[in-house]
Amino acid sequence: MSDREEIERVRHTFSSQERYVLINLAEQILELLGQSSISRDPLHDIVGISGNELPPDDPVLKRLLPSAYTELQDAAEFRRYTEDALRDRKRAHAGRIREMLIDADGLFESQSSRGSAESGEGIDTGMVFVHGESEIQLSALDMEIAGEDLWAWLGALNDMRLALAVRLDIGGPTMGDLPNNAHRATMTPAGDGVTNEGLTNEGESPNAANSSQEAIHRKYELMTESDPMKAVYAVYSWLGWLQEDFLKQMEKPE
Amino acid sequence: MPQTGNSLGRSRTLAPASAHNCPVIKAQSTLDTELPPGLEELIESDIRPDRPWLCIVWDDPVNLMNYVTKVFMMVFGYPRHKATELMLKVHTEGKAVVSTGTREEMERDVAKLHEYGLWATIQRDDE
Repeated sequence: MSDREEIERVRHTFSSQERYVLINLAEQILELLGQSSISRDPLHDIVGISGNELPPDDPVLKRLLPSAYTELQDAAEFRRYTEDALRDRKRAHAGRIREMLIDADGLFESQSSRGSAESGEGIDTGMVFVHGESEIQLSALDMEIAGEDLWAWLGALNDMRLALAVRLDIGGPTMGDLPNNAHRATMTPAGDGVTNEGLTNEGESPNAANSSQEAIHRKYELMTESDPMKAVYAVYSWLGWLQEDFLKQMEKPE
Repeated sequence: MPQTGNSLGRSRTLAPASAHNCPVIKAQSTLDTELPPGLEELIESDIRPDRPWLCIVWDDPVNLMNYVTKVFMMVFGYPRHKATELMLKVHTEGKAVVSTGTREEMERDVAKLHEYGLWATIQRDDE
């Protein structure tokens, strides 16, 4: 316990567009994780066993719900008993992000009486978000995130990045689950354009990681503006930046 | 400051799981020479718990280094320096043993790591 305390509270001002993107991504994660990989046995639902023994076919789901064992039989057994719970926890994280970003303006049904008292500040002109039958006017939002909510955010932001990375074809376990090709993967040193303090003094020089990240970065930089994957990469980069910003705020200054 | 790399992951100093060992160790020091039959073996087995399973985290190009460190701190209760060391081991060597224990303990750890998007597996300690 000699280490300095960690801060479990961050602040961020979300533009209306950032809110829109995050709500949208959260809903995509919710939908994806809500889909069953195979036809279900109703009895399994009752006792909370997913019945899934094989990894999901969808490459994004496979990335979000990895196998716990390299040995197939153990992996199948573990998945059968735990996959549903893992889906539920990840859905809870994404659901919390969505709820906080929508609820902030009091636009959730349960709190509709709050109206838009908090909105309308700043120069953000706002965005219209279609929520079921109704349209929601999103404005810029200064938000404080703490405690369990903060971990829901960190986890959900990471799931979004993992999901987008699959679409962008950025590294990762592509062979399902057997981590045989792990040696060619390298962690991202930091969010794009963010320095990685606290690591340089370890004498480590993650050049390989930097160069592979740069190569990916260049690939998407060179794309034409009309290429939809360029926009996807921009969101992926921003999510990394946001996650990094939260993590930096959580570190107490020396 | 780097520490002896081989001992990493062998102890979970701040993990709740190790807390139950403390009273046993303490009891031993206060006991006199007379021990009830069988107790000595019991104490011995409690001090050296059977830890044949490993939780391994694999490198992933998506996960931010700071994030991986933070997840190790949160899931295992490791202090920042130890969590950072483990993260760097994953980064440079492609994988690292992040905790050891019973199979049930490792399955709990892996479930938590998967919840936060780390790529973790369980395997038997072959040593």
